[in-house]
Amino acid sequence: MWRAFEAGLVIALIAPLIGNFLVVRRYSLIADTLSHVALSGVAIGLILGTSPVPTTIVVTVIASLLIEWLRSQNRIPSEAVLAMFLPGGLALSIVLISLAHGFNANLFSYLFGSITTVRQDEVYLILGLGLITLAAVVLLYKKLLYSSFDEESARVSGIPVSFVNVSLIVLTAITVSLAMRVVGVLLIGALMVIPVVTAMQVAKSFIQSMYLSIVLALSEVFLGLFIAYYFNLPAGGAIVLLSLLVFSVVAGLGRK
Amino acid sequence: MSQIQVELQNVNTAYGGEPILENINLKIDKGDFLGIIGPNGSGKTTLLKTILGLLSPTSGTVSLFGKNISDFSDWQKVGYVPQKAGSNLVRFPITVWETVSLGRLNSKRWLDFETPKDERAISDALEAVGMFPHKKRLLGELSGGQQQRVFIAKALASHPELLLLDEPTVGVDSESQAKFYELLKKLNRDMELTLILVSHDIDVVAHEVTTIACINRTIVSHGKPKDVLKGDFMKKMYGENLRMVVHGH
Repeated sequence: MWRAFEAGLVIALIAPLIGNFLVVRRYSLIADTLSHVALSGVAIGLILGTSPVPTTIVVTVIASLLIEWLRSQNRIPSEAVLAMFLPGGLALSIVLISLAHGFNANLFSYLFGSITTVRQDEVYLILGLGLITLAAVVLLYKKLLYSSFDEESARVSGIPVSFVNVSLIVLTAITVSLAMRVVGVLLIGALMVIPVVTAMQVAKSFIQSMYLSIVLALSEVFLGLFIAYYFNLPAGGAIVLLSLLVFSVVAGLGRK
Repeated sequence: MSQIQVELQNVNTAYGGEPILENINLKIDKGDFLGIIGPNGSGKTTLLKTILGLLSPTSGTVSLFGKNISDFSDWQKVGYVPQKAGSNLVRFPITVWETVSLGRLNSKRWLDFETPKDERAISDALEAVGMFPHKKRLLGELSGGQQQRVFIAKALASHPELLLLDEPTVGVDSESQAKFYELLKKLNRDMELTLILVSHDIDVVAHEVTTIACINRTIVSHGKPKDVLKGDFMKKMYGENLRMVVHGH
């Protein structure tokens, strides 16, 4: 239980941090796409009999680089790139699972998140990579903001826009892979987007939206994990439903 | 003594095999206020992007501040206000201050944390365009004219010597437009800022700029507005149906 809280704390910190940049770029669906790709990583990990987190990170990072490369070629609309990778990732994982003749028990926890099966070594990995992600966003903050706001002007100013874009998508891939243990692969996209969109309803600046979305995500993950634990519910489902409820309340109040 | 800031020599560009610009030769001196005009699809924006290094010419050379563009690295000397800069603002929660602070970034900085020097530059830039009192407002809440001022301030924050603007008054009402050109003239005169302005609005441009370049794939005419725009030149460029409406300013 306590491990899940430690892992949840790190995820709730970095998911909205990355999510803010994805939402303003109209790229929210990248998280969902990568989470479906992540399932293949889980399948590979389970087949190899290792912890699925490292294999998932490798698979999602490779996929994210491919997505960014296709996007930068400008030959296919970026949402179509996502729409190809999403079923592609799912298809690969289904085929792998079928080849391995199924491994039912564990998979459910990766799909929807589980608070009881997080291992200590996975918590350390989540903590370590989470801190690296946090540091990267802090260091690249303005460059990420500029590249999201106006890519062309950023290029003229000499900002390494391609490097910044690749960094963002790799950080997204890492975050998706880490988050899957807590909220599950199918629900991580929600954690990267819903607290951010909620914060943007009331934020008076971009930095405020960053802070507010982190506070919201932290509260929602903690409360959601408690609810999941005491009512024996899937953690991911509880967290996402709770964050949607918070969004409805904030958006409703904002309209008055 | 004049000081050449931008020089294009025999520049040709193409897109997908189609030539866009042909044999462009252009020199822009320090303190010039150049208006680039031409019909739709004449290559105005392409010319601007070529000067900015966003597009590479297929042949010919582009120099900025006396350096070939491939060796040029002082990009903080160059400010850029892109076309429809404010079109991506719906639901982008960014303040006026945050926007202008982006203008302080450049390739020579690794750390982007705001220093007191940055804060002074951002304040000065906002003061120069008259937007300092709005510094805490969200950009998306401002009018089109106010947003354009903020984008100018963002470009000014790096203390540029050269400012390029692409159709900056599209979607801005005529009263704000007049104020906007007043501001550009002031920047040109008081801060000795070199300005390159792309516009389809020949009439306004003719009254505001010191030099005009008419392009239609190549430079059709280049010189002082009164020399360029006289006689039947405009008819040749835009066709017989063009009507010039000249307002008193």
